[in-house]
Amino acid sequence: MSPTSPDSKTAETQAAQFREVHDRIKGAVQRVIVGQEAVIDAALTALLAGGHVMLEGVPGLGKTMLVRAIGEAVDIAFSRIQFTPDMMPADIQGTSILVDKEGGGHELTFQQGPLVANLVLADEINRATPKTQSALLEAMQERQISVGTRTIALSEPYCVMSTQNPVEQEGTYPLPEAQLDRFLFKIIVGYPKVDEYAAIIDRTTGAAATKIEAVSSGPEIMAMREVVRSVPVPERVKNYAIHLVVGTQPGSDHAPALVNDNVALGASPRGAQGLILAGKVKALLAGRFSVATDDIRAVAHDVLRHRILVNFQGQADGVTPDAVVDAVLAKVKTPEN
Amino acid sequence: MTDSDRRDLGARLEAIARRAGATLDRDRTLDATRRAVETAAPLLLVVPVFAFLAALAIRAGNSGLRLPPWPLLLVLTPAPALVFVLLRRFEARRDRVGEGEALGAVDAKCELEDRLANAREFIARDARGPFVEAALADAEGHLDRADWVPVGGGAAELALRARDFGALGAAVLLLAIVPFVGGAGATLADDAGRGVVAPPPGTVARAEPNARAENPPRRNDEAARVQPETRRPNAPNEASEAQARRDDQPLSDRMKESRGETGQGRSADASSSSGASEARGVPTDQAQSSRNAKKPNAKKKEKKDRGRKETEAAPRKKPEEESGATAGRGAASGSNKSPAASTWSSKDQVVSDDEEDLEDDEEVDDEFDDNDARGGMQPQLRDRKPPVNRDLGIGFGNGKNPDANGRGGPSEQKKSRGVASLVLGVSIPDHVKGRPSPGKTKITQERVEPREDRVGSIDAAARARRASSSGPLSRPALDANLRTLLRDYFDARRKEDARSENIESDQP
Repeated sequence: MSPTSPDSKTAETQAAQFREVHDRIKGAVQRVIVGQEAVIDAALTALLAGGHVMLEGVPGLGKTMLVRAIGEAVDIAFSRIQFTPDMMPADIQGTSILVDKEGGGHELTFQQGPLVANLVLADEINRATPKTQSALLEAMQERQISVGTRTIALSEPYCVMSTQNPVEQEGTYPLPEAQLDRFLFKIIVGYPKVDEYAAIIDRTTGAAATKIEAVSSGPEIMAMREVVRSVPVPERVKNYAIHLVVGTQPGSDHAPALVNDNVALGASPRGAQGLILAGKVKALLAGRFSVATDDIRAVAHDVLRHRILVNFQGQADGVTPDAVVDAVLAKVKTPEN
Repeated sequence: MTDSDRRDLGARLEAIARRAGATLDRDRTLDATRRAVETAAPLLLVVPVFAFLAALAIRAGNSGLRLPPWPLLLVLTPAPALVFVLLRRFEARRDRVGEGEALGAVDAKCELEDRLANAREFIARDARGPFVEAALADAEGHLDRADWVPVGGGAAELALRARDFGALGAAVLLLAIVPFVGGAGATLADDAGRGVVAPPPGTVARAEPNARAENPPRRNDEAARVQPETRRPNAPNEASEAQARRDDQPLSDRMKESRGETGQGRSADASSSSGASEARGVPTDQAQSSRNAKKPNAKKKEKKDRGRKETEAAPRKKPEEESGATAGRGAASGSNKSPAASTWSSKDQVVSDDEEDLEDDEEVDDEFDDNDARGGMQPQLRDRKPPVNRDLGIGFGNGKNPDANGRGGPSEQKKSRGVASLVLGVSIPDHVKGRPSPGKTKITQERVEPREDRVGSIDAAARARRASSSGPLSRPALDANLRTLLRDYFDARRKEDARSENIESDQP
């Protein structure tokens, strides 16, 4: 075996540090959240990859608590927005208000909204009207807020973690596709396992409240994001991710029959970006220095499910986006160079 | 990692890829062959089925077909399956496993998660960077394990199902019965000296009279049987003998129908008048000769039997006679005249006067005989008038029928009957019921430029006293007191006006 080069040593160090930071944050969050390891991993993957997360699950599964725990575990500005139907864009972006001047009189002063933070919890995002939901678009994609003539650059790391409830759809507003596409992951939060219930009860009904200490910081998260972007991606893996995304688009060469029959809208190039970025995080967490097709497959559901719009026939037949992703994964083979 | 280290790593990866690729190629070929064998079983039936169908066709009288010898059939039976398997095998060998795929298989086998495949690509691309170097070093650490790991799970066992064995058994069975299904003549003709297959009994019985009479080789007899109809009139003896043989043998319905359809049946039985005209004269002669041979001995008895048979078969035959198809079948007894033939159709037929007389005499006798047999109590079915012959195929010789008017008779215009002939000549307009309104209303909108409509305004201030007489005015008839009242009113007004004018003129 050839001696390890300095470059290689650097990469190994960075990768080890990455895993260590991830494990630290995960350990802190797991002090509050019992089980749901895959959900925690996915949320941290999105945070470290620089993407936004949507958590979907029935009430009472700890979605809000998970985001709050991440906000506490990482020493960054955390804000929470409880979306309601009467909320206006100015309520979350900020607006100019009249304030009393010290010497008498009034003046207009800009009061920034809760969107200006590092980690934003958009709780029950689908309860706000599309007008208010759209206020998130610019912040999520361009990391800035434009209010009137004022443009506020949001400080990095910036991450929006939203929650929504798949039931109780009355009085809610489904997120538009443009909004959904901006989320890197859509994570489905399921019920905890039976043996986890006891721990949940003990932690939440006891006298002592669990306190989370900050174990990481914003700059550290940004450094980890740089490490993620350094991971090389082989062409065959890149092509595989592209074929997966193209496979979700009806009428394409890689689309299976299920897609052609039941999908109205497939994933965008943003989906391919998400696959690669999330795959890089997966590779680092697995102790590798390059992305494998297994990494892409591992994140395919979380990255693609909210970018697939099932048509009317598919809805009538009970075809879910996850079933579509499964069909695409079965159809698309690893390209060979 | 230095360049030489990269080259060494690349060489080792290539060696691993080559070894794994060879194994995968072999497995893939074997797997393709196995799958082809598993799916090729139904192809074993192709040749036997075709041979069986050909034998059926030969038995049904299609003498243009010949079966190959039975051993050749036996050899040809597995040929389609073999060709299919070889093609699949060739396709599998043509798609070689690439290096990337081979290393991917090694990665999967060793659970290396694309480490080797990625390293090969980084070396091929000459990619640089800390993480690339780390990836190469990581892959190098797993080479020892990848060197000896067996790649490929080997070809799966050949799994033949009951369906495959069934196909094989069916193929053998079909091959075994092919010689006995009508094609035996051909098969035996080829294998006469070899004695491969025993001939079916029917074929032997049919061939015996010829063999006794003329003792020709059997092949010649078969050849004579398959001669085209244009050659038949040259051998009237053979034709009459063949006719007699057919009369003796009970024929199946299928054979009877095919006799009317094929060229052989038409020449022997002289059926359709739309067919070739040269065949018409021959059956008459045949029938006449055979009938003349029989009549002097048992004419009366035969008539009775025939009459009884016809009476029994009358309800069954009636629909057939009414259809045009009976023109040919009715002449199977030797006459071209249909029982339902009208005057024009009799003109069309080429029948000698003697034959017509004979037919008429027979029918008259039959009627009396039938009346006796039924005691005169039942209605005579044959008393009915023959239906109008609507045989559209019957022409008027080679020329046009002068009576053709396209309405029910032999028509030059109408070529079909059935539903099309039942359609009324007067069209009935369709009505859509249940529509209260007259239908859609077409609204046409036109763009019209607005026109200015000038109306002269009347300025009240510019109005002056009338300059001239207003002409005669109608005076409504008023009562005397009202007339007096009006006069007083206007007199008073005038006085006031005059007074006011005087006052204004007096003022400076």
